[in-house]
Amino acid sequence: MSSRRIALIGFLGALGAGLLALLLASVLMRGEIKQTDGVLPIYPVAPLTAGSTVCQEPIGLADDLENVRYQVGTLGKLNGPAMDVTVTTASGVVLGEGHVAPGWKDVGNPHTVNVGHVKGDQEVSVCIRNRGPARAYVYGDIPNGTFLGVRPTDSTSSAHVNGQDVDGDITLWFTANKRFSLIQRIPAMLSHAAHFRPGFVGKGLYWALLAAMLLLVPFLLGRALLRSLR
Amino acid sequence: MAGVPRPLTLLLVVVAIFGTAWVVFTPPWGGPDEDAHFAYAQSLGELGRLPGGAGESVPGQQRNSMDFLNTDATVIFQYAKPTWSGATESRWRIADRLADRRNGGGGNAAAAYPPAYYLLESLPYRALGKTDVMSDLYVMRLVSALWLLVATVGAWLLAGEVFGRNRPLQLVTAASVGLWPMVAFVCGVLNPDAMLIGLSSLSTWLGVSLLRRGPSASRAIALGLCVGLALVTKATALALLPPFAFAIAVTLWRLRRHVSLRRVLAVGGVALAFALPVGAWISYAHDHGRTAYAQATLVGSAPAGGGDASGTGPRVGSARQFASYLWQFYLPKLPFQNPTIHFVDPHISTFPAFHVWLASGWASFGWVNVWFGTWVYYLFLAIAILILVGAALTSVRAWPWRIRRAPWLAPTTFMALFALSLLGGLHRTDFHMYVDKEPPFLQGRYLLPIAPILALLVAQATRALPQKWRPAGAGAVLAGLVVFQLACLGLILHRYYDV
Repeated sequence: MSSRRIALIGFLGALGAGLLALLLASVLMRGEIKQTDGVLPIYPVAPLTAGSTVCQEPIGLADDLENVRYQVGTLGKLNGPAMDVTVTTASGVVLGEGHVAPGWKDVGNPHTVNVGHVKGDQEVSVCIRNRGPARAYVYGDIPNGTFLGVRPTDSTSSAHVNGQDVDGDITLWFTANKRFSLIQRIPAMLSHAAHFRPGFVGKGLYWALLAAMLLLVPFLLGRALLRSLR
Repeated sequence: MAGVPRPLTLLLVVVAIFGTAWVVFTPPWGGPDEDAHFAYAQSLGELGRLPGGAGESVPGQQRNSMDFLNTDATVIFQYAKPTWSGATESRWRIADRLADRRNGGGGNAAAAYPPAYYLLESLPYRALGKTDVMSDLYVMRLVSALWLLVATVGAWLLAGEVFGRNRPLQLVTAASVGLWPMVAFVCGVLNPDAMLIGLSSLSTWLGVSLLRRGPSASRAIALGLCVGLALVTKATALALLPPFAFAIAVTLWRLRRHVSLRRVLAVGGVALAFALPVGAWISYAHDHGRTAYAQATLVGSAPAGGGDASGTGPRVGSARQFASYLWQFYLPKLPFQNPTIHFVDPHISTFPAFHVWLASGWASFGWVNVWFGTWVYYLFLAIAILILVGAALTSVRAWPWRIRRAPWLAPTTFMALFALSLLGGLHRTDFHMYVDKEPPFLQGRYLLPIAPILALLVAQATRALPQKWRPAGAGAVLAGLVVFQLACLGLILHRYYDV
């Protein structure tokens, strides 16, 4: 066997095995969360008496969403209150809404509420209203004891209870109705990456680079290897 | 590209593709201290002066983009994401046009650094004129990524000196530098390490070449210039001084019986090439009340205190304590060693040498907080051991070594001096920060200036294979680097643009 053929065996064998491993990993990593507001559910930052509403706004929605997930508790009360979740535009147009029936148990699980289909690529407000009778506490984080002077919450939106600013931000996850693998989420990731870039960096460039890395690079590098053996 | 070997040309195209990918995949301000590095170059480009005077730490236009992007939280907290929304981006674009570009120039984390890299980066900034801050940042990143190509070429040439005209080994060496994800990441963001890595690569080649081929005025002057420029890029380049002095001393020794006016002039040329950038910076810094090498000055001064509070251990900052620090960094602590040194916030491993040099040198992106799962680093460890064993095997096979008058002795000493000076300086800085109760300093990427030397080990390891299978080894290394790159870029995509 010629040295060039042996080199190709080594190159293509290792490349094939490596790409297969990456493909497997990206198929096996599955999830339904499409976006978060970047806040961890650490503290009950928004206490809601019956009739109170907490809103987090503005939230730059990247993709379409079907469900809003949030962490809520009753701090020991047996039956949780009924709750409404509303997604609106800045001007108050309702884009989606969903409801939680009363009587839920506070066992530390987040609530996932279907709000219908809300189009992405717009700025929205997400409001959670306590319809009573029990008091509820929506979780999020507050900028206490900041790390390196940095708020542990999102700098682009803020939370209000009944129109009054609260110290922290509430935790929100936006989820899809089904789970997607990592490889299925690549188009969305590239689309996200194309924002806040100069004009010459668009979605097309990301796809072109991806294609170049997967197709052109192995070809060029394989060629370089063969040329080096001449 | 006439005269450039075809494999190198093809490799440079591949490196440019990955370099561009790192430029655009890494979110704005997502490189280590990138906000400060941009603000430094912006101060030079916009205000015509070094930062550290009156003004904000970053200009208003930059701060505005950081607020819209949720940058502060994103670079610190693992769960935080940059803004992905087109609607928010539209609001930012309006705000960007109104934001102040001229209120920067204040002190920041990079303000005490030497200016060469930032002067270079201020050129594209000035050329772009008044534009949005993202155009400035990304064009400047693309300019910075050119150092990745420089480092790759330097490694190719270095391998040519070490292995001779052995194209597969040159290709493996150069690819191990140009396609190393951490090198591509550092060069793909705004960071003076990019220029330092490029200049170190060239310096290593020139030094080895000078010692292997014998005296050459042009190479010696080029070496002096590269080392001089590196010294006005980052204080870490002080590690190049011992090998540079060694190379020049050996060259002068070889010329001792051949003194001529031309050679005296050449020596003057070397001194001038080295002293011009360094002297200009020291003189400027002195005249403007700055410390030319603030980091080195800090390390050279006596530690402020800290360390052993029990009073039973060695004196704070003493050589004995430094020895204990070094031992505990590389080896398990001995019972009598006091105090126990807590080097790192454990992420991958509590064993410092593994965590710092291997784990964070192979894959720790962002602000040293974007990592793979822990098991991946044990795979890296296995690969590193394989490389070391392979390289060692080839050395053993070469026994008996003829050390006296061996042509590789001086070049090897040059590279060893560089590696040891760099390691020594980094440990001295880290130790100083430890006794001053500062956060841990060391990161794997600080070893990247010696990446071409480490890449030689990778190439050498492929020679441990039977002659027939060496091309397959070279092919496997190249393919492994491509897969490694894709995995790291995937990690970046997942961390910043996915939940």
